Amino acid sequence: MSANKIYDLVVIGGGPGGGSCAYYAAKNGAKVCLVERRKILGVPLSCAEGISKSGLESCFQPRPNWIATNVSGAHLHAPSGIKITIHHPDAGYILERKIMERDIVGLSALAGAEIMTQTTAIDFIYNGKTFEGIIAVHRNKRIELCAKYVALACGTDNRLLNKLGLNPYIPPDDMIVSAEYVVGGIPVDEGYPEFFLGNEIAPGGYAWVFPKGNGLANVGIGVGFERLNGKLAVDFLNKFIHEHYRTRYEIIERITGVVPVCGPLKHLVHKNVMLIGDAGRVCDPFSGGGIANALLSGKLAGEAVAKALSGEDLKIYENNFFALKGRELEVHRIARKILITLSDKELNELGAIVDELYGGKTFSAIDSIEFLKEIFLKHPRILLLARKLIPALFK
Amino acid sequence: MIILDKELCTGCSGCMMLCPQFAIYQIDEYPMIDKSTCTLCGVCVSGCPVGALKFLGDGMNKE
Repeated sequence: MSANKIYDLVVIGGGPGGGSCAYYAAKNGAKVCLVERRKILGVPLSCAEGISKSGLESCFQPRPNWIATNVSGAHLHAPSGIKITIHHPDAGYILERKIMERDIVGLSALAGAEIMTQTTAIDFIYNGKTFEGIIAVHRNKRIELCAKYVALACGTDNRLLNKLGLNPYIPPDDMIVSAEYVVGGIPVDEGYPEFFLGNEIAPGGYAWVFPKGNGLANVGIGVGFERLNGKLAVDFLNKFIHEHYRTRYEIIERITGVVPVCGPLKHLVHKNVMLIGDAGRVCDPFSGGGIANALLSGKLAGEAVAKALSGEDLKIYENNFFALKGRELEVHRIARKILITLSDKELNELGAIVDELYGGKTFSAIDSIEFLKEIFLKHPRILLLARKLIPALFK
Repeated sequence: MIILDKELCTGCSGCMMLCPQFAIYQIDEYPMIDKSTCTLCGVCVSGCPVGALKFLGDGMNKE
């Protein structure tokens, strides 16, 4: 790296979104530099590692070592304890995300991107009109990186959004606080991630058990910030495990995270800066899953940079992203708002509806919007809520 | 003052997402709080999934 080099693109953050962006920009001819705060890519993990097959494969062909287990369906547990099983062969994967994250950044390096770890972006170089690059701390030294475009894939770093002049404030009820253990000794059904709903178990969120193979599982919980009620997310997790599993188990890793489920920012392009992944709040507000949309937003942003270098408007990034994901994210955002208002009794009723329509059956594809529409239509009070809240659903 | 218990902190940086004042930053492994902008609102204290952020003097003698 020479002092006066001007990159086409500086990417802040080497998670799935930043890696994907750097890869697709470099592959399409852009001169890219990716900066990452951490020493080791992928560590610490802050993720449950589930992804749909289409969500991953629309951006990357997975290598075998990215996959911990294949997902062939799911078990849903209503608050009453009733278990609903849906079969969906090839639905998705439970990832070895640390490996995948490192590999994607590796792929971008092979495509020509420069990678700087232990490099924390702290500000932008701004000329009053556009952003000309970033200021960063690289192993205790202040550096400047000049670039025509900047991609913000910095996950939780709201300070950088604030410095762009965007208001990164997220209402407390739109934040899910999560704790997860990687455990050995808890019985799992290989191929079937489990989801547990209930206002006692996980108010404003849900608990999950994802099989990781070789007897391991990701056991986690997400709770709405405003529903913590003086308790910690990890307290909910310990209680959940204590009440559901009587076997001896060992925790081999402790993982935490905060997920913004407010839905995407209105604009993902701000002057010559693009917002990717959680920085753009593009994670799925219904499931809290963030990897697929981070990969996709990174890919579209990387491709948009390559096109912008030959004269197109950078806005094609946000237009393309919303064309693919806008309606889904909006429906999922409101669906979550509806779901968190339901009592356990209503959740049980909803569970019975899901059981009747989907329980024990095998599907080759489930469209989430159709799924939500179908189950909401069958419950009178939820239908009422849904009609009011989701015009998009009934268009 | 809010202090960080590094034994509990997983380094997830979720507190940076939680802080309504954007007063938390992270240069390396652990988050740091900018005392000039922190209003001691306590959102990070109640929101940290593992309770690694605490008001000074609060809960220090427990366990």
